[in-house]
Amino acid sequence: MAAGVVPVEEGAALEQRVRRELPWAAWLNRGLLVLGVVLILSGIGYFFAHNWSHLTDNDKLALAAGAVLVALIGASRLGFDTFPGKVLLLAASALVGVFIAVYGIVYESTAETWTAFTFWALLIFPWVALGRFSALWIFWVGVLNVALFFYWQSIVPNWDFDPNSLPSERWGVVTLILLNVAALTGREVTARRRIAWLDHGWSALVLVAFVYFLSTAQVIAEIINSDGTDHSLWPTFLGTLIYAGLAALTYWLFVRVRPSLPALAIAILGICITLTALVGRVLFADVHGEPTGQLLLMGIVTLGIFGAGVWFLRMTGRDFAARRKAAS
Amino acid sequence: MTTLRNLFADAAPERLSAIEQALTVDETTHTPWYIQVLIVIGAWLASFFLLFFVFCLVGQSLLQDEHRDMLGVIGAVLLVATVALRRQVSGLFPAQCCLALSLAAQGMLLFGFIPDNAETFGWVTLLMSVIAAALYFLYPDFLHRTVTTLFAIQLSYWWICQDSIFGPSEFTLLTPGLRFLLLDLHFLATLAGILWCFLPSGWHELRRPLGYALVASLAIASVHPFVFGWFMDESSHLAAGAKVVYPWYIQIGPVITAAAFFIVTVWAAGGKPALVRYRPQWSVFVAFLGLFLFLQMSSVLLALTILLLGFALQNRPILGLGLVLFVFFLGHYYYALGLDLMEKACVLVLSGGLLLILRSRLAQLMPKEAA
Repeated sequence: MAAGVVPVEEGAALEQRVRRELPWAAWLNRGLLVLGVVLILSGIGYFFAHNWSHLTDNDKLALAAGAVLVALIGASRLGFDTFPGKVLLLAASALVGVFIAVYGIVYESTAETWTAFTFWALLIFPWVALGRFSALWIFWVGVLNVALFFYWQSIVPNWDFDPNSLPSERWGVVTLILLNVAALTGREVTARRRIAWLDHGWSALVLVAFVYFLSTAQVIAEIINSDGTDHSLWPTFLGTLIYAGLAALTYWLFVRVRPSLPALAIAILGICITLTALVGRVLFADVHGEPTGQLLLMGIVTLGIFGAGVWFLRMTGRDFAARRKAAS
Repeated sequence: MTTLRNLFADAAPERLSAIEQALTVDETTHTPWYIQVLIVIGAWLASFFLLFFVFCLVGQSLLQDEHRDMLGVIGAVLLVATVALRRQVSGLFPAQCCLALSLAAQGMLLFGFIPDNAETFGWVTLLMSVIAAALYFLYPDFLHRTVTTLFAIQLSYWWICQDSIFGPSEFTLLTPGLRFLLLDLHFLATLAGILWCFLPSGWHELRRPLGYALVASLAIASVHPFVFGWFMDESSHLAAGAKVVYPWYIQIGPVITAAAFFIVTVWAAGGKPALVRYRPQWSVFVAFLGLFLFLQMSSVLLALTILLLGFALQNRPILGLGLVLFVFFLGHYYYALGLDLMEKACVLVLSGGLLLILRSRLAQLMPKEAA
């Protein structure tokens, strides 16, 4: 206990006291409320599932629209600035998607999937703007991502993660990355203008993680699938260059403008994995027989790459701590 | 809300500041969890390449049956060297490399000395249990202790249940009755081990990996439908309405679970004084436990035990595991009732309503802190 500052017996008594003073009533209250509501909602869901075939098309549409209206009325009654109100607004936005799906089933719509998602994003945009809720905004960005993904899937139906076989895949991923970089930039610009509702650290981390997931996967695909010909080397070179640009942008944003060590850690993880893949591609390029030496070298290089990444993060962390100390 | 200041309300100011100083995280030396994740990924990736390098160096001929002993010897030497190395180094990065090397050495040891057939499964279990017990004290690493102990406990489960994995074989020593009895004992020992590891105040640092390994092992085994057959069997027969009479060695599992839940609840409520003070309330609680057993919901009780333990210890991994198991077992319970959609809708709405009534009743009985 606290580096020997507190005696063992006193520590045990404190532990019991801490346990006694835990928010038991609140925990039980919330747990029973959530479980009770979930069970009742599941029961209502089962009730409609049982009677779905007996419902007319109008009933189905009215039910879906009614659920949106109930959530919306609930949100406005509770107030859009209260947490339950915001959660109900998020639920209403999600239920708009259910309404569009039911509409598509009832009228046997032949519209492509991406148009339905785009329409959904357009319909709920006013609520996103007025709701001032970062979770709703991230949800909206997610719907846009799905819409864009389905758009590219309508162009490239046989997505196989090999950019050389289907070059259009490359553009699909690039537009997805650009969409999320734009969302991140928008978030940072509004946060700098002190719009508090959007300035939650986790929303930036979600976007950074998604941008780095997409870009790292794409660059590794370019590196692994390049067969050494000019035809495949140029995209690899260009992709690596753009990735380096993204890394520089991340450094500028999360070291200079808005210090964030977790965001940097996500970027460093992606960069370390990409560098390891790049070194591996070079080392294992023309191996005949057992790659014994290459494996030893890969082990050492991997230690070096990740060691450098960790060292950089530790140094930056100390720099941030010193800056915070100086500011306070 | 308990704060450091109201916990030490009577402490002298200079003592309070010493405690606060001791508990303050030094930002310049502290490594945040996300950097630790990066270190772990790097160490495992590098170890993976280095192990493959060793593998290529010694050659694939060692994988042939006539040279397996040699691989076992290399594994034993590597294990001893890794233990010696780990006792010398302290950083997260070398520690993770040592962990990867040690696990690989144990794999080589098993592969080298034990032929892979059902006949020798008991020997694998015994060898791994001995190695895990020895390394628990020799290898000073939390994750290593948890992983090797978990592996040894899991092996002992599979050894008891090997008939349901490999099918009946001529090497089986256990009759079905003896198998269930051993399962009961294993279950009892696991639950008792969890209570021994977590309940005593100021629980010892050395017991923590064992405690986590036992909790994880209990979770793995309880979701495995063939191991703890009573969880799955008991509810799936409800729909038919048939009164299935199980032998006592199957019925004892739910009773052990209910007893464990009772012990954890009493401990969380403050121990023996709370038991004596609120005797009527405890009688109602025992009646509720009986209702759970009557409704054959012992698997839900098991999840609730882990959930309660996690909250009382303010331990997020155990709390999270308890939540996941709770959702899994509750979902399975309703699924296994085998009712049609309309009946299921009624049961769900009724049970949800009952919980909301219970909530409002509890809100009247308990202090106003819930608000």
